[in-house]
Amino acid sequence: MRELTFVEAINEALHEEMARDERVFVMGEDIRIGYGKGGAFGATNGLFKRFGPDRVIDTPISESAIAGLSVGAALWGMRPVAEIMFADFLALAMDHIANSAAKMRYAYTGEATAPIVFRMAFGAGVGAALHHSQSPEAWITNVPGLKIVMPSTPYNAKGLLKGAIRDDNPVVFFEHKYQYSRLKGQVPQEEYLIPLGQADIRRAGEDLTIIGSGAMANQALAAADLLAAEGIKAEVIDLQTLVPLDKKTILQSVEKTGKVLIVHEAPTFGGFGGEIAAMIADEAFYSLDAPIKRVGAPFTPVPVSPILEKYYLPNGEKIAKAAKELMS
Amino acid sequence: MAAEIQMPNLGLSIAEGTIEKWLKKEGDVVEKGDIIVVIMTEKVTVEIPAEVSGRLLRILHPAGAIVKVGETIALIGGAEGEAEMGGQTAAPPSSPAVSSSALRPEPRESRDVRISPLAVKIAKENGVDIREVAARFPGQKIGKKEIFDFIESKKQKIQPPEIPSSPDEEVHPLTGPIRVMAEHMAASAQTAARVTTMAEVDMTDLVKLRAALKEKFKKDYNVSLTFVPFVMKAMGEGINAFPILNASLRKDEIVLHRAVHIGIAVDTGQNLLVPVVRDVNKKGIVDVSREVQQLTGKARKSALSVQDIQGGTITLTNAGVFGALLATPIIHQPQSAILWMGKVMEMPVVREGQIVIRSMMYLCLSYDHRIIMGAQAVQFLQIVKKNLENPALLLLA
Repeated sequence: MRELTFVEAINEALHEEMARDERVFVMGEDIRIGYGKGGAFGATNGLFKRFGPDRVIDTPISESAIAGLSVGAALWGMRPVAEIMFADFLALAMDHIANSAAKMRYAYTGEATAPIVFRMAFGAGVGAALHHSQSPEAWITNVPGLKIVMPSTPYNAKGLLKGAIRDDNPVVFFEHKYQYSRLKGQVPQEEYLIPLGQADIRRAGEDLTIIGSGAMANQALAAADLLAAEGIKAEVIDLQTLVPLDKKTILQSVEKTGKVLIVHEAPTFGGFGGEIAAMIADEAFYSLDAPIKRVGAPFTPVPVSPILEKYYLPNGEKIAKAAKELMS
Repeated sequence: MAAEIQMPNLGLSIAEGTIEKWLKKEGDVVEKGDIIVVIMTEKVTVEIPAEVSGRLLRILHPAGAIVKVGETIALIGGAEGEAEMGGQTAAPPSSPAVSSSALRPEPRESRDVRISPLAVKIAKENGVDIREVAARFPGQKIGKKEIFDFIESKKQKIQPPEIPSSPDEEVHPLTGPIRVMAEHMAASAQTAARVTTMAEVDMTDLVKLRAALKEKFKKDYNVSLTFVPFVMKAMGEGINAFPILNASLRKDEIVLHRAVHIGIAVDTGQNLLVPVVRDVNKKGIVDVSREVQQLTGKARKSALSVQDIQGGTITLTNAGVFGALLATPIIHQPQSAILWMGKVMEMPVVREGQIVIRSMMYLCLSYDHRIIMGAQAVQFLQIVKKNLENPALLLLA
């Protein structure tokens, strides 16, 4: 099977969906040409040339404008895919996402929908410091009416993005910027979709369950390799979609292993892992053979110094260390 | 502040004790010196007094629990102890004036049983008392694995056959010395490769010798002379020739004991005790006789110390006094051999082509075939037999 990078898989999904459905259009900052390609990271490469100025729209530098325009277009029957260059700027678009897009179905008794995908690059590891490195998923997982997706591989990035574009709800789609051009993976030629709301068991095991998403799902797999060398069989669940959460897959795994480690790149305090932990404690308490543990970042912004940034970020070794403590 | 009562150290080789009985209950007022709990270790029962006066705040291990030496088993509080107890049960918010650290640390630390919800659930489903599991794994986190280990170890110890209960039966809990016996005997039967060999001994000369010496022993040493010390001395001779009979199997090592410490089984009516006569091969028949008499006397009065029952390297049991002829005794672990003596009785035997009446006795030797070969055991037994048949030599040994 051919290999694509993470960003190539996303680009391919956009090409395919725009070709399939003429209501689908993209907009964002510098997405036509950008830095010699499409957008800051190349996700929209080739779209302007192929689909023209009506369907590939460069916007002013205003995330609020991008989000508001998206909601308006969606209400008139379009299916916008909005690029927020850095997920850190989610705050600027927040009112339209949380108070308009997310509320549309509820406010208009289901008659109006906002089928928008807000794509955004998130995450640290590239030396982009405080304002361009955050993992802000927990800012919006508490907003009913949104779907929150966080792919981890080129394969699921493509399948999930196509699934998100076809979903009638507003979807926030987090793409880890470290992986864009660094992570390669197999992607089939033929078309496929990955439905939202389903977790993927990336590795089966019976000793403990490690739950992660995005880049951290891959770090959890690295940890599982380290643990396997010591005879510990970890099951790795890649959430793929944070909201709606695939509780069934999580609970089945917890019932099997009795031990849970939740990993995310955002600070542990107030992170989405707390919600997963609470759900497990609530619904699988008598399957727990140890306290639920979390691995995340310290409660501080992403440091500027590359050395500190490395110290700050969870990785395979840190996850394996926490897993071993959990097993002892 | 609460005073802790701990599982006492009752001898070097004893790592844990069983709580046999609590004589006081939680909330009782106790005076310093009051016996509050009875502990049983191996085969000695010890009464533990309160070291301070106060109120028995909490019993941390119920009767039947096996507790490691040094672990806290109960808490006695002084006057402020009552507040502590109320705080734990009725839980009025502690007044800010009382530092919470003054009340909390001791009971919390000693009660700090960390058990997973899954372990609680599995324990419930299997009818396992979590307190017993906690006592088995002191200071450890208790999870699924520990519960299953506990259940497994219980299974291995005693597997009671499924007997339906009926109204026409009398039921006693399996506790105390009987429980110890059940566990030790089952463990021995499951570990040792036990073989029993037998020999018949002509005791006629020893019967005569004993009759001749009996009065003198009574008068000079105040000792009632029995056959037992002679058999013990004869065992010493056998061990000199075959030291492997006086050995233990320790993991991958065969341990030959230089000293010959012979345990003698004493039936007290409620209890089977095995006090130990030390260095039998360094002592004469008078000393051995005297010690046997002292130890059996102490055993019957329940006055044996822990030292009295520790360190045996081989065991002798005399069932002949009850009229028994033959047996296949179980080895007292971690020893490797046990000698059993039957009844001395007059029997017709053939000597030089003639049927004559002689005083005969059977000796039954059970040995652990994992480390003792059949030929060694049989030859050892023959040495014991020959010495008993020429008892004058034993007086010199």
